[in-house]
Amino acid sequence: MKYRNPRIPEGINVSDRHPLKELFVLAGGALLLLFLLSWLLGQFGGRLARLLPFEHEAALAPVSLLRNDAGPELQAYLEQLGSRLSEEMALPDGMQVHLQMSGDDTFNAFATLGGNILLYRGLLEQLPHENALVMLLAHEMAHVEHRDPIVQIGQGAAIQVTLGLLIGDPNLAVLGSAGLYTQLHYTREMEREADTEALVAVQRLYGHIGGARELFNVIHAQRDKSGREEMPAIFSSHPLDAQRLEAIGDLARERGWSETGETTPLPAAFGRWMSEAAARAAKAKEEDALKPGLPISPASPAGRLHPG
Amino acid sequence: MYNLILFLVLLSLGYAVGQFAERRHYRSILQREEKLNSLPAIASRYPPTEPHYQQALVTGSTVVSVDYFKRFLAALRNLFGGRVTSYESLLDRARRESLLRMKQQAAAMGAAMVFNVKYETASISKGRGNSIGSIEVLAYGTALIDPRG
Amino acid sequence: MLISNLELIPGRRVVEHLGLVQGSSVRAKHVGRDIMAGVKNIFGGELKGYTELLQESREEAMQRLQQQAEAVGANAILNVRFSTSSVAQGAAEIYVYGTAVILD
Repeated sequence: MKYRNPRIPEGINVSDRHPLKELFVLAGGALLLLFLLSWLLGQFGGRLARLLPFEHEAALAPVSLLRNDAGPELQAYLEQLGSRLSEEMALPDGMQVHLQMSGDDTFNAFATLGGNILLYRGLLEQLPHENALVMLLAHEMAHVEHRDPIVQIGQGAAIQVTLGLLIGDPNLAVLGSAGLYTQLHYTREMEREADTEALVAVQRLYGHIGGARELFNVIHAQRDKSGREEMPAIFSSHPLDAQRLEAIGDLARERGWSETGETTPLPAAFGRWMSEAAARAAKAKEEDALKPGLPISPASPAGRLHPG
Repeated sequence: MYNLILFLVLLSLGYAVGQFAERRHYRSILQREEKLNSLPAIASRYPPTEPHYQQALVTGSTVVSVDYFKRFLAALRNLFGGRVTSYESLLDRARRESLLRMKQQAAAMGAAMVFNVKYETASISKGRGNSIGSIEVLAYGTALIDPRG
Repeated sequence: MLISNLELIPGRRVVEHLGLVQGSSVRAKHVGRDIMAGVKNIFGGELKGYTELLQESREEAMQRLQQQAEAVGANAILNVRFSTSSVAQGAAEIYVYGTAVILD
């Protein structure tokens, strides 16, 4: 009986596929499919969400985020602007917009479910004239008219749930970004359309769009002041400030609108209304602090004016 | 955006270090297989009866661990199906290493050959989310030592 | 190539032992099979997808075993043993090994 040990050649039990090539093929293929799937799910989810009648949205509104520190004069002023815009923008019957103002010094504004729009004092007190304020209101009301809040929820739910089912492995969590970036793409589109619709309304109200730019200039100035860098567009829920300003110029040229014109000043008492609201908010915060219970942490609501 | 960057960093680290370690390990394995070529390992159960060999159980075991790159590649494979090539080389190395260690133990005893070689594979520390942490391969057999020296 | 898990083949003599040969295969299922398995978890029944997967895996492992035996010049593989282990969630390794021999 002979016992030998001949050498067995390499490569029989090991495939010689280069790992990097395999990584690119697999990861590339997976990302492509996931982006496509997320895009389709976004369409589907959005359409499904629109089927919910507007009247029922109010029940889902995030009440914990909404507060109104506006005094009666400010409320009347805002509502007067709001109803003029409602007419110009031809909001459908049954679609009521609820304008609210918070005395908090947050620099933002948002529209959420049920036609609720919240404006923060931090942004309002920086607005130079009424035209900018109307541009802001029109932008938020455009979100409500397009039903962006509920559509965003529908898209998000469809994408996250399906991707969660498919990508069970925690190692593949990074592929979930495909869903996230698709969602951001959709919100950017919504912002662009809201900007356009707002400009049309401002043109109808004032006969020119001078002053609409101021809104975005104010936002940009605040961003510079706070020292926060703007994220590249693909990572952001909003188009870049520069892109939004450019869009205004393009639309004006396209429709032959004038960018110069007399701007209407804000009412003289505006500054006083702001400080009154601030005082009300501060007092409410004190009272909240004394009340027992869990603190409310607001999630980021849909339809904000800028990414923040 | 930042967890994307972190992921890419870990992936490249896993790839670079993993590939380097693997190549180095294979070189060592091939070297030792040359050296221990004279000691055959047989899976058969009936050893030769002449001469009367002395017998001893010998074992060799290895625990190899997966790197981030291989783990990610295997997870991607899980989506599409097919051969998980990133694990093939891992298991090949673990098996050959275990066999070599067993042979080394036998050679240290002065054995002429090892009979009835068997393998056991176990996956240790499945890690979070049931993904593989490390694999242990055990090779064991009976070493036949020539009493005549 | 004679492949057997017998120790001795009746009527044939082993001329030469050529050492250990092995074949292994690691395969993963894909999402489709995973979802079907999830459904079957509710309704019960044979997981045909997984059966097929392990079958293919075993065949590939056997094929690699034969390749190794041919490479060392054997004409039979005796004392063949199988070993299955789960190396990751959803992937199973099938490992076959045996002694390559030359029969007369």
